[in-house]
Amino acid sequence: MNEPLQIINIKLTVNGSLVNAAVAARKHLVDFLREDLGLTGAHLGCEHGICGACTILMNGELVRGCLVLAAQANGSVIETVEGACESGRLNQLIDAFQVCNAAQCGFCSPAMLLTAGEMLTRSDKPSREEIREQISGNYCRCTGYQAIVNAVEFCFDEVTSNE
Amino acid sequence: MKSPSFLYVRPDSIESTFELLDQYGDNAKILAGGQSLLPSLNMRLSAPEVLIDISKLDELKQIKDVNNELHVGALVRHCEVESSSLIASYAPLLSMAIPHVAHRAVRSRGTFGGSIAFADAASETPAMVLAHDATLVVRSSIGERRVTADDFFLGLYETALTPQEILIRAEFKKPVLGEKYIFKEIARRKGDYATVGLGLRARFKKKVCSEMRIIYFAIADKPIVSSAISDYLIDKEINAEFIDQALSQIDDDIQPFGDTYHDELTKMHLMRILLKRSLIELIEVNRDE
Amino acid sequence: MLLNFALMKLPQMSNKKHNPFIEMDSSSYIGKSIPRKEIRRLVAGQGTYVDDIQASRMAHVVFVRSPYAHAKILNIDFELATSYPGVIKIVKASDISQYCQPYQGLLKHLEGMKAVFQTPLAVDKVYWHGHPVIAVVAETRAQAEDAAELVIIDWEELPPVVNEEEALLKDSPLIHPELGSNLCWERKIDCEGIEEIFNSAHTVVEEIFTTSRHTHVTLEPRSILADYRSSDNQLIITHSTQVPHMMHWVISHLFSIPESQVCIIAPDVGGSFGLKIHVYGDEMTAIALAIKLKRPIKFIADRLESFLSDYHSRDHRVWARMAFSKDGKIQAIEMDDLQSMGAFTGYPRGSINEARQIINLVGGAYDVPHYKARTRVAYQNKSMYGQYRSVGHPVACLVTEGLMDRGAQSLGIDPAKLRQINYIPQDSFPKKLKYGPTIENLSQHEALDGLLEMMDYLNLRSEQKALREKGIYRGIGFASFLEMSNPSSNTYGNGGVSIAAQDASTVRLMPDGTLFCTASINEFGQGAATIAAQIVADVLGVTFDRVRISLGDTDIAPFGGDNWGSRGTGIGGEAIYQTALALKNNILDIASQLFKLDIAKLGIYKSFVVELGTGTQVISLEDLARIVYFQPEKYPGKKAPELSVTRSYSQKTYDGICTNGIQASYLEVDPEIGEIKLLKHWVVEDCGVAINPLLIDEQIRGGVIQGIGAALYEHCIYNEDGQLTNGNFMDYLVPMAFEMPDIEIAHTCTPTKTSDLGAKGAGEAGVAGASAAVLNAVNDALSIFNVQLNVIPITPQNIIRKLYKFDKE
Repeated sequence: MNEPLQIINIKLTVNGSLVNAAVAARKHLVDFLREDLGLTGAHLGCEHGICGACTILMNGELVRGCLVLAAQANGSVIETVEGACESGRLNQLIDAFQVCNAAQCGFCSPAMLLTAGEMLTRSDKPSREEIREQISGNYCRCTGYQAIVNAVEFCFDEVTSNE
Repeated sequence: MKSPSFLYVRPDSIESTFELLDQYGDNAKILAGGQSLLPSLNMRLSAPEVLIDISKLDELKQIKDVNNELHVGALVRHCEVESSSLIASYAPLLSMAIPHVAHRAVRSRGTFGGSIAFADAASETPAMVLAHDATLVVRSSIGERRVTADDFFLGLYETALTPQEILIRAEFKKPVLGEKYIFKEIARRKGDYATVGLGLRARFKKKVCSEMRIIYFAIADKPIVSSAISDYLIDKEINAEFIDQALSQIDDDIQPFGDTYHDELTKMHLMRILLKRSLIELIEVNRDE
Repeated sequence: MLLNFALMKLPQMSNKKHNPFIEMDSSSYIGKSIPRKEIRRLVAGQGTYVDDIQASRMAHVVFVRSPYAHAKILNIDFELATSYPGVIKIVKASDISQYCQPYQGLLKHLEGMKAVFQTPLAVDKVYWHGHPVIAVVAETRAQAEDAAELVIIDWEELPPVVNEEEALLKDSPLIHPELGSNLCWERKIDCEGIEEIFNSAHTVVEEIFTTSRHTHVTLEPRSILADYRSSDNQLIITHSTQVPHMMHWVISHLFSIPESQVCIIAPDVGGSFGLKIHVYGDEMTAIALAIKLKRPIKFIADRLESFLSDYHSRDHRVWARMAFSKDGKIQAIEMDDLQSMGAFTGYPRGSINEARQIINLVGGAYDVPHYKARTRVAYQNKSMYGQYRSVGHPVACLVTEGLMDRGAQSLGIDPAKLRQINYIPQDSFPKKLKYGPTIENLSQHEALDGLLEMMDYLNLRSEQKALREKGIYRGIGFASFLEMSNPSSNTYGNGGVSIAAQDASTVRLMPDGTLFCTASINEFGQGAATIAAQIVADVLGVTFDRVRISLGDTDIAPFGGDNWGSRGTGIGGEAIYQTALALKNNILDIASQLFKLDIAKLGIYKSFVVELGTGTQVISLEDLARIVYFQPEKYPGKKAPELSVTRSYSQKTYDGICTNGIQASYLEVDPEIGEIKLLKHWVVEDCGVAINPLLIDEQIRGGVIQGIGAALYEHCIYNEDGQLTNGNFMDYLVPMAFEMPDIEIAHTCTPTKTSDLGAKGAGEAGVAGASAAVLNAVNDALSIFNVQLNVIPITPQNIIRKLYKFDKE
């Protein structure tokens, strides 16, 4: 406990930019993103990997940011909700969230957006059950989930109606 | 809930990993996917002095067929197990079980070996490794050992691994043609730890059961290999009457532990029903052939 | 007539345009399903919650909490902890007593209520598992947690009082000996001759219902950032709170800082549902530390301490019976409720409002000629206890509706029909419940008819019957409920509690013709800001995007009641409406004076003052504002024109405005494994005039899922030593997406005459009936096995134990 604090140097890509940083060994990735980089879109709801509010993309895959040490993220490519929105690939889903009122307090929403967003690359429209399964690891207390399912469906309906 | 401090090391090679393990012994914990270790650190349930991040050990990340045996490296992630056709053919029960493990975002980090070494009694991977009679290859600076799955899981969070050893891989024999597989689990919500679960492998000569291996999990301090019931069913043509007779022996197979929401009696009842449904399904599956 | 605000009616959107508001018809907004502006910002991670805010010289506080339910503190040693790197200060109760006064949660107008004072940190005794004792302040949260582990406390365990029935026995140890008993409050309603009615009734059903203690589990935990500017004696608190004005009053008085020197700011709030309306010792300690240390102090409750120290709720054991005549008319209801609370009454709202609502509302939806009841609230060595969304209603509904279903079964009458027979006759409103509130007007018959049609009830019953023959067990459960909203001062003010029963709003016309509005209600996801903007835009004839709403800052908003008891739209909205009308009147008056026109012939449309009828534009709002602000000599009137107007509103006609609704649950039970699959859920609800149907429906859906959580999953489990054993997300189960049903919603509409808008409250309706509907549906599914469940949460074990006898027992 009284040992000198260990600092780890890390180099990683966050939202397309190369980041060089020195972090405490024990600091988890979400704390690093929030405190060191000011990317507060990923939220802390439990820090034991269950609520999903901290979900981000690491090397293109959904991960629980609170269950990754910043040190472990050395050499990886991180995308947070800020970067994902900047890229424009989620614009349709953001519109859909708004139209369907798929967010209330918004605390789960960035993670929901990223998680649900992974379905958008599908060519076929997912069933409501499949959408529910996709977001089954993300806790929301406000919406009761139905509006979020509606929002994903809305995206696929939009696509077909625009064709 | 912030983790206590620890020394973080990320060895480049297996040899340096062993040096660290020899040096720190059980003051060190292996960091693989971290999906079980990091929550326990964040909740301050454990405070290891050293975390050894083995993610650089690429040789542990492979799934490959070696002389008709499947080698699955300890650092293979759950999501890779999920999408592996090799695993689907060599260890179908593992394939069937994996979608039940937590959620996508956890499966992208959690590892096959991490789950085995952690040995949570409600976990699917250790149970299906046992169901497939896999051999675990473990190694330390002293050398390599091969441990059968039967001998590997000793108790709650307790395995045959010494503090100086790491799990290298699991080896699965190529399954016999015509073997049948049933995986079932009951959980309160999708992705939760199982309330009760089982994996079953059976072979039939015509209608008569020639081999039967049943593994129960989430009901004791480790996954349990059935003895009484599987012995009973072997050399019999499985039908409704034999199923009831078999089920009546479940107390000989399992000494149950309760959990927060289910006491021992409920657990046994649920397992009995799960097994009944599995055996009924087995009859169906066998009939269809 | 049923109004079905189905999703399909929403405006279609193109991919390219990101501003839906321009496309909408800008003539009227009240009653339209306008999407919330802030959703774009929130989903993109641009929300600002308390933990997102960093302040210069900010430090973090962590608490050392009692591991015991009841113990004496013998000795505290934090010498080692103090020298830990990064530690700034460690304090115990006596170190902060000069800053914060003790507080007592007492409602003086409730006869016999007993309460003691408490302090933010425990002094010489701890009274619940999690009771904060020591505060550790450090540069980082992690360092504070490290240091907290080094604090040494010697304890002497005391016997805990953890059974509410035993707590009220004569020989029970007393949690607060000075109170003379563990009974916090009791209320009795007597009814002479009721025993005789039960004895002679055709059918009597009786049950003991248990609703288990659970908690709000907001995703954003309790969070506070306290900043004290010593040179100005000014406190600025950024607080994840539902009630900034209440907090303003409370904090000012507890810390003896004048109200004008205190500012509470609620930024984005990640959910509340009644959690963040209470005063918490750890939060008050953070404020004391900010004053003591003269630097900003941040406290974020982590998830483990959230389960432990958030207020708990809904812990009741209710014995009840209902007497029916042969044709199914309720003759009498009798009930005895025992509520298990915490070790102290919550401040300032007390912890007994649940019991108070329950005794008022059991049987409330029906015409009940005779009612006898008792409620008692028992102190326990457990976590603090208090309001959670729909306070008390879910329990009252579960009891009433559970008895109704049992009655239906005994009488052989269809459960929907039984309800219909017993609803309060439509021509008897307003109706004073014998010992409960006065009900202005309801639409119960219409709602039930609408529900049965929406569900295709008869076909569902046939489906149920057919499947039962195949060994598939489905159940249908109804729950009729009343939901009190728009409360008057009888809830708190009359009891000496400084919680406002009025709300106020200021609307200001800016020089460019846009509108700025602030009000004393708050936004925490339910859409208050959108409702406000709709009202302002509608009345003042501007497009929606030309209105900005600022809520949650007590420096900016006028003083008012905040959000609770579903009062935001009914009271706050009405205040905003009256304010907007007053500003409109001022604007039209200015225009009429400027152009010598008859004010009665003027209106405002698309940012212009216009002549009604012809639509001829008279002057733009911008030009009018510019004259008033920049060239006031052009204005001929004697009295200075006023373009910033404040009005207030309170509801004084009734104790509360009653709304009604009915829910139904359709589910399937696998009796062998006690597994429940929720197939569908329906709600028909009457909230009077619906300002924004989309937002209302989504509020209802969220509430239904919370009620389902209570019915199937949620339980704060205490062991016999009074320790919370499952305070984490693995062991405390919350509803997740995969298991939840789709919920179909429709509305009836009975506006309230107490306000011009006619809006009643809607935020809590979803929770009010959902647990009852699910419990009734499970019992309906299992009725063929002759079992009745009477406990929530309904776990697989509950079901299995009712259906099977195990040899070993």
